[in-house]
Parts: sequence; C-alpha cells; structure tokens
Amino acid sequence: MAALAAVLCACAGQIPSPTPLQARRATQQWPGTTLEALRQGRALYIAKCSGCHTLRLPSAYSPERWELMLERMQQRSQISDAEKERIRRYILSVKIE
Amino acid sequence: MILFLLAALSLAAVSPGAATERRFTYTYESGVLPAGVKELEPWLTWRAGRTSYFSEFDYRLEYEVGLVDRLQTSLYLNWHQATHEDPANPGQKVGDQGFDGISSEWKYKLWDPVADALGLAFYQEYTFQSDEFGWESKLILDKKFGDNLVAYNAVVEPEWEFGPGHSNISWNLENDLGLTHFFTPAFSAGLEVVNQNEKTHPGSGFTDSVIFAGPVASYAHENWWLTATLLRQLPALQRSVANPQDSLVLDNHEKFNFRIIGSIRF
Ligand code: HEC
Repeated sequence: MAALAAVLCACAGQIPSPTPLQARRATQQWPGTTLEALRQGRALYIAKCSGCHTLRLPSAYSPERWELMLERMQQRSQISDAEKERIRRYILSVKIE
Repeated sequence: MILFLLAALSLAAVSPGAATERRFTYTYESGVLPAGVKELEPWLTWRAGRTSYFSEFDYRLEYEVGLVDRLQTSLYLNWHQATHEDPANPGQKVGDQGFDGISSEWKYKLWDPVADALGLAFYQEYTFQSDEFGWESKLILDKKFGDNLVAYNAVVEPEWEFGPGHSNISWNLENDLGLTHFFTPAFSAGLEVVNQNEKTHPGSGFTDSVIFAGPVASYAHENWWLTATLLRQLPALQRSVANPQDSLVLDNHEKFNFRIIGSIRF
C-alpha cells in the first residue's frame, strides 16, 4: 500500500499548474491574462483534449507545433475560438520554466 | 455481416465522427469525449472452442456522444451469428443468429490518467432484450507512466431472466487488466488479462472462475483507429462443477476469444 502510494505520488499530475512567474510573463505577452486565466486554460485543456487520445505534455512539442496542432484539433474537440485561445496561452506559458 | 457493415457505414456517414482511441478491447480506459463530440465504433468478437463444436460472432455497433465534459453516453445495437453442435443430434451442427437487443452506456470521468495521480471513471450499461435485462457496473482505473499505459476494470453484472412462471438472477464478476506500450504515438502493443467469475444464485459460490490472457495491439491514424486482442483461456482458478477433470472451463466459456474494435472518420 505504501509502495503504491509512493509510486502514485512520484508521478502524480504530469500536466503542470501555472506558476505566478509564468503568469507574470503571460501578462506581459498577452495583456490582461491572469494566473486564474491560465488555470482555466489548464482545466479546459484537460476537459477538452483528453477524450480521444491521452493528454500530451506541454513540453512534448515546440511552440510552432502546438500552434499548428491547436488549429487542427479545434474542430475535432468542438471548442470556441475563446476556449482555444485559453488553452493556447496556458500551454505556451508553462512551456517556459 | 453485410447488413452490419452497411448499417455502420450509413450511420458513420451522418455523424461527424471522431475517435476515442481505445488501446484495449476488453479493458476500458477512463477517457470520455468532450461535450458535443460524437463517434461510431463497430465491434466484432469471435468466440470458439468448447467441449462440443461452438463458434460465435458477436457484433456490436456503438454510437458515442459527449453530453457535457466528463459525461459520455452511448447506444449499442447487439446481434450474433453462431454455429454449434445440435444437442438433440450430436455430430450435427446448427446455426443460429439473432438480435440481442440494445444497450445504453453511461460513463462519468472523475480523474485523468495523465493530469491526475490516477485516472478514474464510473461506468453503467443497461441491456434491454425481450426476455432479459442486463445491468453492468464498472469501476475504471488507468494510469500513463511515460510511454506505458495500465488500465484496470472491476465489473459487476447481475442478470435477470424472465420466462413464463420463472425468473432467475445470475451474477457475473469480472476483472480486466491491460498493459500496453506506445512504440510510437500511433502504435501500441501489450497484454490483456480477463478473469470472469460466474455465480448462479446469491449466497452460493461461483460456478466457475476462468482466466484469459493474450496480446493486444492498436493503431491510430488521422481518420481511423483499430484495436485487436486475441485471448486464450488459461487453467481455471475454479474449474467447472460439471467438468472438474478439465483444467479449462469449456462448457460455458471458450478456449479462444478474439475481439476487434475500430472507428472510421468520414
Ligand atoms: C475528437 C477527437 C480528438 C480530440 C477531442 C482531440 N484530438 Fe488531438 N488528435 C486526434 C487525432 C485523431 C490525432 C492524430 C492525427 C492527427 O494528427 O490529426 C490527434 C493528435 C494530436 C496531437 C499529436 C500530433 C502529432 O504530431 O503527434 C496533439 C499534440 C493533439 N492531438 C492535441 C490535441 C489538443 C490540444 C486537443 C484539445 C484542443 C485535442 N488534441 C483534442 C483526435 C482528437
């Protein structure tokens, strides 16, 4: 049981939560983007992008590849432009340490 | 079979299909379609190898819809085509085929196998037939470790049978385990293990407990995916009461089970 708990903790959530530093950088890049908005982007990413394949880690692709994939996945996941933009800002923000 | 394919094609043509990739065919994963996304999945299961001649194809056509985020519902049409030895005429084969009713599935996802420590979903399936009602509950756990995916299901299935002057309830408890490795994002291969325990009356022990294991492989492309498992029965955890000398239970289970599930996008 303890071993199981240890294994689970060791690899708990692999989809990073945005940090305050990442949020400050995001605000500079996209004025008005708050830490809360990035958190919502993460929740949207998990809700909208896990239905067909397992979630890809934000670190798995270059920013250019992510931009392209988001365009391709928008229709598949039936998300609005606003939702896509939230997910995009979250992914691009947490890619930077 | 032709009818089945035609029905699949015509339904698929009207649905803006997508694809909840399945990496196993007996074991479910926790994923659910996002709100508004739909998909069509034809299933084929072939079961063969009993004490006396037996070969059966079970067909299912599944239509899935994401209702709201986290909650998915599906409708299944079920039918079968079988050939087996005629009990009244040993040595003679008889065929039988028929519609096995419709099933309604509800799946609710709580945790994600990548974003959370463990993926978790609850699953309910109701099957309505003229003389039978089936109810299946599953607890679905899964986890992705790097390029490996592990999934486990605990399944409880009471079954009621109604006939003139009698009704009967039987229980089926099932454990499903799937382990697979992603060699590329599109191709995965691994192992599935299925344990089925059948109980005829509440209170009495299991009539038998069988175990199946075998390879599973899955490939997902832009517009389609396909997953297949070949299971072979292994020596039973509890042998059949009717045939205790045989280490395999071949009176109401088969030596081989093969299942293929696919999805095509038009
Ligand atoms: C309706 C099903 C579906 C949903 C929902 C979905 N995807 Fe996909 N996704 C696919 C399929 C199919 C592929 C593989 C084929 C392709 O690249 O188009 C894929 C591939 C990908 C890839 C890998 C591409 C590569 O080159 O390896 C990424 C990244 C991705 N999706 C991101 C997302 C994101 C982000 C979302 C949410 C906005 C999302 N997906 C939602 C079906 C879906």
